[in-house]
This record gives sequence, structure tokens and C-alpha cells, in this order.
Amino acid sequence: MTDAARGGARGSRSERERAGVSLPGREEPPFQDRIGAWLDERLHLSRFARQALDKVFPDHWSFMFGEIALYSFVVLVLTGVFLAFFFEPSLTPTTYEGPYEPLRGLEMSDAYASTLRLSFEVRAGLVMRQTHHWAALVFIGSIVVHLCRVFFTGAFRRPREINWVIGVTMLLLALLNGFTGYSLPDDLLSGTGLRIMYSVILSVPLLGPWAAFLLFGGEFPAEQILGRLFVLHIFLVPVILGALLGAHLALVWHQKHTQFPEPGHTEANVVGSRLWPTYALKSVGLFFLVAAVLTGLGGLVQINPVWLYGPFDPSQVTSPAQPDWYLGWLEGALRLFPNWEIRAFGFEIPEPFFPAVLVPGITFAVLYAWPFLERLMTKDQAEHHLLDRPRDRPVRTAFGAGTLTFYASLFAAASNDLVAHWFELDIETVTWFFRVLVLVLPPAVALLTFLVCRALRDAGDVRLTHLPLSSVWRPRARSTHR
Amino acid sequence: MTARTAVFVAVALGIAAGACTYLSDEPTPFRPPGVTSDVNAEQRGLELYERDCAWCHGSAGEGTSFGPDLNGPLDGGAYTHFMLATGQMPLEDPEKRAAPASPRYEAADIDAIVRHVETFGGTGPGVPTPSPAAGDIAEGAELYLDNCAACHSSTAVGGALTSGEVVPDLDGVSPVVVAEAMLVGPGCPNTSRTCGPGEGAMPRFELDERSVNSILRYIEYLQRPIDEGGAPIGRVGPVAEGAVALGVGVVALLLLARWIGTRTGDRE
Amino acid sequence: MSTSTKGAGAVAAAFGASVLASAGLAIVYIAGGSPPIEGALLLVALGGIGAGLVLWAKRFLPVGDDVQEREPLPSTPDERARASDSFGAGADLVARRRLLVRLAAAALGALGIAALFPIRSLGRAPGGALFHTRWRAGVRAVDASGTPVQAASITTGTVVTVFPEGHVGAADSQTLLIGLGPGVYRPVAGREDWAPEGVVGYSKICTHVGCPVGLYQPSEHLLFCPCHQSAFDVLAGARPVAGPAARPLPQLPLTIDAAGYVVARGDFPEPVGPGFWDRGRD
Repeated sequence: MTDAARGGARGSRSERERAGVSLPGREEPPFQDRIGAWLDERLHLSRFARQALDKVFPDHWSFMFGEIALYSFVVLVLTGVFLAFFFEPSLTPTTYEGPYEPLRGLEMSDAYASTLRLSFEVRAGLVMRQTHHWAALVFIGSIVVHLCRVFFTGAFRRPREINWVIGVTMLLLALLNGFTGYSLPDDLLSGTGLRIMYSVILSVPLLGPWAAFLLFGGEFPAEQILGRLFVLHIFLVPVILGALLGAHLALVWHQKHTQFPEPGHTEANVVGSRLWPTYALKSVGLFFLVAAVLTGLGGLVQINPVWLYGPFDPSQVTSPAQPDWYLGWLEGALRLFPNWEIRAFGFEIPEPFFPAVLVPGITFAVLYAWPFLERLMTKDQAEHHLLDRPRDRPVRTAFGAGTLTFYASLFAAASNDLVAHWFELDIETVTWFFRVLVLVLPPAVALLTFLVCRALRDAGDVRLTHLPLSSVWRPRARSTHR
Repeated sequence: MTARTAVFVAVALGIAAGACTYLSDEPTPFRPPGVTSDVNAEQRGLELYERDCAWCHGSAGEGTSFGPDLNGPLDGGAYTHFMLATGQMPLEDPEKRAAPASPRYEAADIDAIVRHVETFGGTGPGVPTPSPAAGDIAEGAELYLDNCAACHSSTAVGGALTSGEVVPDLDGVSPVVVAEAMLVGPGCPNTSRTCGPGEGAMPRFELDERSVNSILRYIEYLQRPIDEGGAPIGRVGPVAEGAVALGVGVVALLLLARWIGTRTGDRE
Repeated sequence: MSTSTKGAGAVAAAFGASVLASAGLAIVYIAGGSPPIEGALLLVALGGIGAGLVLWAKRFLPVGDDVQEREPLPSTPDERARASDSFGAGADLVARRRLLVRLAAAALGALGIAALFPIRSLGRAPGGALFHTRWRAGVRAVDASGTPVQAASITTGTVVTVFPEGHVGAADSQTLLIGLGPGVYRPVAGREDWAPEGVVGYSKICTHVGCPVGLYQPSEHLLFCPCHQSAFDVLAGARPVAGPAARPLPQLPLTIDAAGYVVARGDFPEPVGPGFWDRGRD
């Protein structure tokens, strides 16, 4: 094969003729062979192409969560390019003269005015804008689901720690890009969010004031910030995300995908469908389905109607004021953390530092370190290509369930004002309820998960609904193995 | 037994109080609205007031231990009309919280009661006659965002306050009522017997006529805004959007992934 | 699987629906566009292709029967040794010129440090910006339209956002004037004469993370922040009484000039807005 391909580089003519002759009744070789030969003569592609087309991918549906994120990213790039053709990233004041009557004649930034133009004057612009926003929300949602699948099945274990680290970095960048994009239209809601971000940066001990002034260009609201957010949002972060995405996929390709333990599945093989044609058709089909759901939402369900929020003015505010869902856990932490500040020796660590800097800092530190922490705890140095069933790892599963509960509780707490409004409760009562919930529920869920997983593991191949209740709670003495 | 005793005592006290009221000029006691006979058409205001209001506010609006007086510097037509038109008055029980509801009277009856209360000592503003059509909608947008959006939300969906207070949404609220609210600052928590206009949860806004009309015009727009982008999902912003993104978008895609990843003829 | 045409109908229908929806999209666009119709048609156009491809794969293509061996990921010891040798040999050659290695490292390091300096160009030094606002002694308070505010217009239960005259919209100077009415103001020591005729002024920037504290409840005399639900007691120096804010809203010393306008007696006595590291510095 290799020799034949090499030979083709020199005596290509005769090689191709011989190939063509071997197909009876045809003057010319098939189209893909002519294209293939042209490329192969220049790039030596045949061996790679054959390996690639025959590559086997496991079929389990939970392995497609990452693909959903990937295809949401593709939709984000496609719609984002369209939006960037029209959006003006500038806080320069202008008087709105467009067709949206309720704001005509008002002073607003170019950014906000161009967002209105994009929504009301550019044909198909609003669908693009809304699809972009929905895609961002679904992008991060599917990353989180994918992360959970990888975590609970132990797919991050050796040899895949590098890809875990790349994945966590992409989550971080996705959050960053979500926030910068949310802030661009310069409407009242997002402007308030930017104000909060400025204050959070300001709260960092020692570096805060300088960091905030350098990033924003001066005291809030500084003119430069919008152009900088734009560069971060459409260039720097997406380029890094794209590069990491390439590395992430290349590693999956190179190391081959994990699979669940099943008859015929071993640590030394991959069982599934070949890339060509089965997997390719399914995956491309998934791309179109992702695009269908996102554009469907983009046209049918209104998102971020900035024309109703009004242009940003630092002395105005609207209520309720929440960030997009993926920052809800930080917003909840900001709402719940008590008013503790540290003041000593003439310096102070302001309250927002703890919920808005320390909490995410610890979150991502633990996320990055998890594969290595777990290896320290389990002393498991072996290579793994067969996945864990979550029930077989009660400690990890319990830790994951408890952690998810913690963030879900913080996330819910970000809506404390809406809860108070809808159920006509006292807002302080609601806040205290969530303060207790955030501390009590996670350990409770973790304990319950541990007990159920342990019982399921020890009971063998039993469904959760068929598990006898008595097997869940047992005295410690009877638990013989971990 | 205790409950029965309590009821007995209450009824006895009620009868006694009624007798006293009948004999003296004290305020009439609690009488649920609608239990007495039809009122005289000419004296509608007086009779409705005597029947439904006087037992708490006194026959001359001087107030009783059940409710505040109606003779303050901000009392008068606007405040009375606001409380009746938003259904917050009359209360069936003075211990109940005054909350917005559908009005209990026809518009003509409300006007009659308002005219009667205006004969008391209150020196507050009368019922305003705003004309939103005369306002400028863009000016209204700016004023609304300056003064109203912080509590009522930029999309007029309302919100929460401290101390269990709730900011009402502005859906279906008439321009007159909004103008009255701006004049008198309603939203008294009737935990306090002395709380009156100007001391409610809402501040007062002393704006000129044009500004008021402009705000009203913008509020009328917000009651039926341009939802160019499809289903408005409550116009509460990112919370509803996040619920749809996760509950519809992500869930739909997970189900589709499950469908793709399932072999035809497999058990699952 | 089989090559029969059984089941091809659904695939064909999916692709066909997509073709029709795409045609519909073009028509809707030409007709002027409508987001909901566009969304529905996009759903069908894209979903038709997706569903068609997936159905095709599920019905007519081999699924899940292929097995591929994994090659071991670690290299053989021999390969590893040869890679190590290749690197080591080169490194030995380079390291032989010790002085040059050190100079090259110094050059790269110096360049790296020099490259950090342009970061300084990104923004102004914080300096005193966080410590001062535009309020000065004798400056009149004006509302958002620039009109000076009469003390008499701040009656009980009213609230108005004001700025120093000539600086309407200055974000750090936004201040709330609140009419408290006579006799209820309980001044912090030393601020007895800061609220003439029951008109009190507080910075509108929350001391938590800087949202405008836009909600005033006259019934409770509370200012309330809609972002994170901090509440401040207006009667007692805007002391925080609920929520995450740890410090009172700074109070603006006020007086009333001869013409009856509200006038500042000076800047806020402390930095406004959220806290920062050296806030205690003077």
C-alpha cells in the first residue's frame, strides 16, 4: 500500500491506468479516485484516509453530548459572523432615529443602536441574533452535561487527563465568552451585569483597583471597555476555543474513544460503527438537528428583547436582574453570602471577593485537579478504556451528586426575588431558606447517593426500582469492600 | 369549646358595638358589603360609604381603631379612587391585607364614594384626568426607566421588595390609576393603623402633566409591547430564558441523541 | 442490514419536507421576513436533513458491529530511549556553550519583561479616582434633565436621583434625595445638619457590587437594591439591615441656598460604591 502510493508519485500515469483498467466497462476511474489520486500525489493521503474512514466509534448515545456542544459552537460561529457584520462595538453616544418608535429620539450608544438595527431593520437579523443567544445557552448546557458524563463514568482517568484539562479550560472560556457576548448590546440589563463584574474585579485584594482600571480603561463606566469586550468575544476567546477544540478532538481521535463494559468490549478494542458511512451520517445528521433546534428557538421564542430593557444608563436599573443561566451559580453566591468584610491594617477584603472570586476559583481548581486528586485517593495508576458505571464508584458518584446539588442550589438562589414575588414571600425569608439549603442539601444528597450506589453495586445487576430498601441503609460492619 | 366561646364573645361584642353605634355617633360596626338592601340612587356615595367604609374610617373620615383617618394632607379623591379602583378597598375584615384585586363596585359607584370622601377634610389631589395620547412615548420611556423600572421592571412585570412587600405588575392597570399612584405613593402595609398616602411602599412622584402623560403612554405600550422575536415567555429575562434553554433546548437534544444512539430493534 | 427499500419513505419525506421549507424560507425572506415563520421553517429545513440522515443510517447502514483493536499508547522502551537520545545529543551540543545559553536566556527574559510594559497603556492609574466624586461645596443638585432641584419639591415620600450641576450622568456622583418629612431623621453623630428640612442625600451606588439602589420604600424607610437584595435604613445613616452589603451608603452633606435649591456642602465623606483593597487610605 505504502509502496504503491510512493510509486504513484513517480510513475503515476501507468499506476492510474492500471487502476482504471481493473474496473470493467469504464474508460475513466471513479470520480473519488481521480480526486483522491490528485491529492495523494501531493499529500500522501491514502493510508490516512483508509484508516480514518474505517475508524470505529462506539455507539452509546451519551457519547454524543460533546458533539452537541461542538455543533452548537459551529452554529455560534456561523451566526456570530453574520452579527459581527452589523454590530458596532462602540459606546459613542448617538441619537436613535430607527423604526422602533418607543425609543426614537433617545440618546444611546452605537452598540445599542446597532443592536436595535440588527433586530428591526436587518432582514433575518433578529433570527440570527436570537439563534446566537440560544446557541450560547445550549452550548454551555451541553458542555456541562458532557462534563457530567465524563466525570461520572471515570472517562478522565489515565490516559485522558490531558483532555480533561483541555475540556475544563474550554468550559472556562465558554463562560467568559458567554459573559462578554451578553454584555455587548449595552442594554440596561447587561450594563448592570458589567457593573457587577467591574466591582468583583475591584474586590480582589491588592490587585483589584489596578486590574479593574487596566481592563476597563478607567473608572466605570469607561468608554474603552466595549471595544475590548468585542475583541475578546469575536476574536481572542473563540480562536483559543477553536484551537483547544481541535486539540480535544485530535486527542479523542488519537487515543480512541472509551466504551462501556459489555460483552465483547475489552480494554484492548473499540466496538461500534465505522466512521464511513454510518457514523458520518449520524453525526452530520446530529449537526443538522442541533441547528434545527437552535434556529427553531431563535425564531419562535423571544430571547433578550433589549428594546424593552432600554439603553444602559449607570443611574438606572431594572428588576428582576439576573445574568444568563450559566452564571446563575455566581449570582446566587453573591446573593447568599453574608455581609462579611475583612478590614485590618488599613486594608480591606470586600465581601464580593469571597462569593464571586474565591468560589469560582476553588470550583475550577478542583475541576482541574480532579483526575490527579482521584488518583491520589485510589492509587489507581492503570490505563482505562472501559468506563465505570456510576454505581460501582459510590464515593465519586456521591461527591459528584453533592457538588452538582450545591451548584444547583446556588443557581436556584439567583432567582430569590422571583421566588419571593411569585409566591408572595418575604425576600429575607427566601434568602435564608436558600442559605440553609445550600449547606444542608448537598451533603444529604451525597450521603443518599453513596448509600444507594453502594447497595446497587453490592446487589449486582439490579435496577434502581427493584432495589430492596433494607439494602440501602446498613451498619458499617457489613460493608466489607469499598 | 374555646372556638365556640370566642365566636360567642365576638358576636356579643359586635352586637354591643352596633348598639352603641346606633345610639351614639360612633362609627358603624363591621358589616360585610352586600348584605344590606339597595342603596338610594341620589345618595349613593353617602350610603355606600356608610355601609362599607364608615365602620373603619368613621362617618366623617375621622378614622377608628380599625382603620386610618381620611383627612390627611394627601387624602382625597385620587387616593380614594386608587384604593377602590384597584380593589384594595373595601376590606371584608380589617385584619386582612389590602391587596390589588378586581374592583368591588361599578365605576359610577366608585365615583359616588369618591365624591363623598372629597367632602371630608383631606387636602390631597383630586382624581387626575390624564391623556396618554398627549404624551411623547420616547420621553415616557426615558422617564419610566429613570423612575419606575427599578421596582416595576423595565418590562412592567413587577418584582419583590423587602419586608414581604410585592411590586405589582402593570398589566391591565388603567392610566388614571397609574397617575394616582404617582401622586399619592400608595402601598401602605396595613400592619400600621396610621400609615396613609405618601407612606406606602411606593414613593410619590411629583411630575408635570406632560411627563405623566408620556410615562402613561409608555406604560400602555409596555402592556402590549412588540414581541418581534416570538413567544415572550413572561418577559422576566434570563431566568425564563435559561429554563427554556435547558428544559427545551438541551433536553430535546439529549432525547435526539438518545434516538440516534439507539439501534433499531434494540430493547432500549 | 438489508438493502430493501422498506423504510425509505420516511427518509424521503424528511428530505422532501426540508426542500419545501427551504423554498418557503426564500419566499418569506423576499416577502419581508417574520421571525416566528422563519424559525418554524428553519426547524423543518434543518431538522428534515438531520432526521433524514439519521434515519438513513439507522435503517440502511451497518451499526455497531465493527471491532477495532487499540494500539498500546506507550511507546516501546527502545523507541523511548531513542527519542531521549536524540534530544539529549542535541541538548549536549547546545549546553556546551554555557555563556551563550545564559545570554540567550537573559535576552529572552529581558524581552519578556519589556513586553509587559505596554499593559500599563491599557488604562489610567486608579489614583484618587475611586476616592472622589464630582460633588463640591456649593454645587447645586440637578435632576436627570439638568434642572436644579428645589428643596420644597422633595416632599415626604418622594425620591429623586440627582447629579452635581454640570455633571448630569456622572456615574460616581449619582445621589438619591429623599423627602423624610419633619422629625423622623435620626442623624449619625456629626451629621445633625446634613439633612435640612427632612431632605436627605445618599449615594445611589450600592456598597456591595455597585448596582443603583433604585428602590425606595417610604413605608419602611428602606432603600433596596434589586440586584442582590441589600436593604439600607434611610433613617439611620443608610445602615445596611439586610442582604450582602456590609457598609452604609455614603451620605452627602446638604444645605439649602437662599433661592431654595438643594446644594452640597462638600463631597461624600468616604469613597462611594463597592469596597476595594486600599479604601481606607486617605
